Amino acid sequence: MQADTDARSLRLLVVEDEAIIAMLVEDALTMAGHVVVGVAESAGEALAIAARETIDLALCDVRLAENDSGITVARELSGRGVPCLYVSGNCPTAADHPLIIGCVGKPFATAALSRAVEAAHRLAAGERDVAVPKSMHVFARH
Amino acid sequence: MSEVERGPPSSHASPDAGAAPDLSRRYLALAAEAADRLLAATDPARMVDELFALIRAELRLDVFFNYRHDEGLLRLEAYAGLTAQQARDGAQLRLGEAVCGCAALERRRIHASGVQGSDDPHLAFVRSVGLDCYACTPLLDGERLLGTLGFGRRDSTGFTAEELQLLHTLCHYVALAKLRLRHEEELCRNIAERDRLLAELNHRVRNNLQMAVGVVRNELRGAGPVPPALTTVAERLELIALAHRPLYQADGASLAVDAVEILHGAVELTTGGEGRVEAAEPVMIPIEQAVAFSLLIHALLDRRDRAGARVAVARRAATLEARITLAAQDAAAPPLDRLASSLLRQLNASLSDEAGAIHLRFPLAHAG
Repeated sequence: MQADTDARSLRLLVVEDEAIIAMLVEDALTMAGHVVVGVAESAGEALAIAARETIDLALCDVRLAENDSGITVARELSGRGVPCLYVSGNCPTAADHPLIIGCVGKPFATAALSRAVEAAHRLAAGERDVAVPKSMHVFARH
Repeated sequence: MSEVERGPPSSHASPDAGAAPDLSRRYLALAAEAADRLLAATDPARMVDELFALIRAELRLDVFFNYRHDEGLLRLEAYAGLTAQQARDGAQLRLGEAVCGCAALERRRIHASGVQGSDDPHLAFVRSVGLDCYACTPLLDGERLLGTLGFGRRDSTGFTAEELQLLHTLCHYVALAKLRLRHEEELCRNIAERDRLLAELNHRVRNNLQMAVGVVRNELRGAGPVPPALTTVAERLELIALAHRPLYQADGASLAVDAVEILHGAVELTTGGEGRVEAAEPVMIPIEQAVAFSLLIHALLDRRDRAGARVAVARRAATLEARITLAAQDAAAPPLDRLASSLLRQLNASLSDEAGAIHLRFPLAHAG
């Protein structure tokens, strides 16, 4: 039986260099029924995980360890067909790839995070009229 | 500041008395035009180039050298009338070296005349350039040396007193303009540094609040049965973090934030996204009231039928009014715990049950 989109368990990559925040994100998403296939703290780790795992959506912090940029990671991943959602204290206001869906601002409400992830995934799949949490900013699509 | 003459006594004389008023008017017009341009200048080297272009015909100038003082050395920043090789030869001077080095060291204007006929070693460089007269002025901010500016001619043994006066006046304007540009550059650098620091602080505060939430949530993970107090702590910590979020976009002058945005965060967290916020327009409240307001709304919705809760917020004159209704029942203000009572007192708020809804009202701190 095919689960509907809302209830589908998503395979997620978390790109976050603060261990405690990465744990918080992982727990919030796991409790909502999703699978976190990997947590990366740098661009190299993120791309290595993406090369070996199937990923439905990546959550990317903007500032990463080793002076890496989450924007570069999102650009690389979206180029490989992986939708991305920023989770950052300094949200970008736009993105240059349609699979970079938007941004959840830090600090975020834990309960709202899974709703943001599910909304981002549906938007990436081309759905319209998707309800997004207030804490999520969706980039204009050109 | 006295003027030093170098070279043999000059034979040049002031223009005759009949021509003086006309000359003065032309010089005055030149000085005014130069002041206008220097006031608007944005590039220290180009502004001297432009000044030279403005005055060279009237003063029959062939050459200028503009040195910048940099840690005990004079570095050639702008020039005209030199070959590339001559510019390289004069690219750097020590204080006390050549005419400009002496002007800089002694903080004096120097007028070198009859240069081609002089064997003064200090004049060797300007002589090699083919100049016969040269006037160099130190550019000063009080006693602080900014650099030097010198002008020279090849076909005249000296400048007249009026010409020297005009050149020195223009050099004084250049010094003021360079000082202004330095101050502006320093100011821009300081502002950029402060902005970087603020952005870093902003990032750290956001991350640290999020980490504090993470630490508490981590304690809840796998704890069974979950201690209710710890759940409340986690929620309140998230509320404090959420209430701070609009602070980062706050207007620096008024330090006010939008209560509606804070309410959206609080209701989203408290009702799991099932509650609603109703507001016709933003309601700006002082930062110091934002966190208390957010926690109080949470306390009023706590352990109730949160899913269908609606909170309407509006500003009435100098008062914020929030109206809370619940889906399944008439809403009545719950017994307040110690924290909620304290927050109510802090906000100087009143709480009442009216027509099946809870009404919270408090005066906005900046409104009175």
